[in-house]
Amino acid sequence: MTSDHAASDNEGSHLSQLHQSGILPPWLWFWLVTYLLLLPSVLVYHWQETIQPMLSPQPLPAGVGGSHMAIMLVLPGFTELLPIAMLLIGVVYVFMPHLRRRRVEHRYNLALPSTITPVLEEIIETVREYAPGVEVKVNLRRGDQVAFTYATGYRRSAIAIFGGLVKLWRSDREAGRAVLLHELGHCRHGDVLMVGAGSFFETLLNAWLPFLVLFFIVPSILVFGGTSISSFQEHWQMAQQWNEVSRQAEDINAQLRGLGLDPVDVGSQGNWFLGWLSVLVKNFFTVELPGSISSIISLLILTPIIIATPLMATWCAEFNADQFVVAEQQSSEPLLRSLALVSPTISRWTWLTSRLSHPPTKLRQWMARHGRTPNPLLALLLLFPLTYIAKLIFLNIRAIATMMVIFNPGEMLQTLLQANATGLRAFAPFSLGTGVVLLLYPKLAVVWERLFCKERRMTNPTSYKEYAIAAAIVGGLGALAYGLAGML
Amino acid sequence: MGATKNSDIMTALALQLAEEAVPDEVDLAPIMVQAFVEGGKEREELFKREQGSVVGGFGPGGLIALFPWILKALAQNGSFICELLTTDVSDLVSLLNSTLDLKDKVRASQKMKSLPDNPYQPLKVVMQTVSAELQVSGLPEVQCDLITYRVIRALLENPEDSAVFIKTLAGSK
Repeated sequence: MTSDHAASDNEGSHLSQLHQSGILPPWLWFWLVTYLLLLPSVLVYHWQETIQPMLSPQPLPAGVGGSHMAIMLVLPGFTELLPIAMLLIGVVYVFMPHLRRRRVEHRYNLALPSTITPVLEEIIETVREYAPGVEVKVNLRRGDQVAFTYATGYRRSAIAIFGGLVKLWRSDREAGRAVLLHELGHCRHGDVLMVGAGSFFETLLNAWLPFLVLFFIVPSILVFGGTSISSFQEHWQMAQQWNEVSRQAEDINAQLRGLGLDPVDVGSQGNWFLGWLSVLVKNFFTVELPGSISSIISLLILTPIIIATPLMATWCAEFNADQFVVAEQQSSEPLLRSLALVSPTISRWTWLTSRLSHPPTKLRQWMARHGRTPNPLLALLLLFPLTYIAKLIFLNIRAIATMMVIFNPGEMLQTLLQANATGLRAFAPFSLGTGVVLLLYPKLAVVWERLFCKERRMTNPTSYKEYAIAAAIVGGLGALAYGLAGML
Repeated sequence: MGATKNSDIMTALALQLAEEAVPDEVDLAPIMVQAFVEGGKEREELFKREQGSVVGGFGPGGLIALFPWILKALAQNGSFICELLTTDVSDLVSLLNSTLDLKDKVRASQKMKSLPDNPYQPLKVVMQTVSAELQVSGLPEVQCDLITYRVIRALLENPEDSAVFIKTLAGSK
């Protein structure tokens, strides 16, 4: 063996002892910073546009229900505020790690391990090796859970170990190690504090439909019922007046006939009830129903608009933790086995709510297999920055759904162009910002992870090309957005 | 003194049963027995099955620990098992050994079910009831039968301690 080879082998063995830093930038942190920067203007907007009208609804004339009806009309604002409030509560929760710690430890009955079995000893040893300083709490009575991390301070975290992981470790040590390394990947990357922002997404999804029914559908039915009753009374009164007029006309005609003159033709009113019913049905199908559908679409789309970016940042954190596992185990097989083992058959609803914290298992499996190859890596790097574009598309759909009932096509197009100019102006700095992060991250990954992890044997991502391409794409999109906004 | 001895028996038998029937749960067995005997929330936790993802977790779902279901099945059929433990049929362990040695597990299950009632009625009752309880966990019937044979074989190896173990389980709330 030549001295060059020996040197390269030594370097190789040294590198193999180094632990890989995360391959994706800490998008959750990036998202939180941008969210906090925009928060004052967002709060002012919602205060003026949604909350104030709810607090002091414009009174309606007594004939159409008065103040009661006015209150009904502002109630849908609660459904609109729900995703905004849930996200805000989640963000506030991020800044209360001690409260989260108490809640999590109480809910899952977590405690320091009282007996250290050989498997538990190996688990604790692995935690010490990869994330020294991270606390280990256990509840071995629960086999339905494997492990999760939670914040115990702003830069400190703990890992909860359950009976499920111990069982998995015994039956397939490497698969068990993959689960643990995934959690340690979160600890090292500083995700643990941030994932708390999504703590209430499941609550949001569970509460959304009841909120829609309670604050939109029920008030809409009551408003429709109220206006229908008013219009019924009007039609009835008009019919009564018409009958009176007809009676008087009959009297006059009798007098006219007595005088030998021709009677006056007062015409016929027809069935007033059928007239009222036809107006009601026409009103329902041309105004009420399209308006309600457009409002429901608008409310429905608002949720993905609000949660899209933190959700994608959370998915990126999960992909990043998976890639850490693959890098450390030098194989995707143990991770794939553990994903298959701990993914039970679940209901569609549970599948959907699970997506609020984790990407679909099949996508994770695919990324675990291919995430280190150039194109999938590029896709992973672009996933979060391109969410802003998806958000713009959703905003356009929402605007169209809202306006199509009120505006004519010309007005709608003009308003859309104006809204898009504003949207692109807002998108451009974020896009440029993500480009800068992508450009810098491969050189700063180790520095970043040392903020959260006392471990010193770390290495930056080795391939720079994909980061540069991704930065060029999002930077280019940002510049294009500036240009387009100016043209619009 | 008696309580300590009982506790030692519980731990030793928990380990022995887990090693025989569900070896990958051997680390959990003593803790699970303790929780089962304590009852209340501790016992409830053993059977919890929360679906969905935990924020900061690995993903939706987890694994099913079978040992709590074995304990539940033993506790619910305590009287039958105690009767079996005091039976004078001498070849039960060797019968179970020969059954478990069969490679075809379906045939093993059929062999046990086709035993004559006399003198195997107590064994057949225990096998049937314990296996039926285990099936509630979602495990297929043949696998439940095999686990049951292994558990009963382990209990029969030390009938005196096993009786204490079963009575403690059955007596817990």
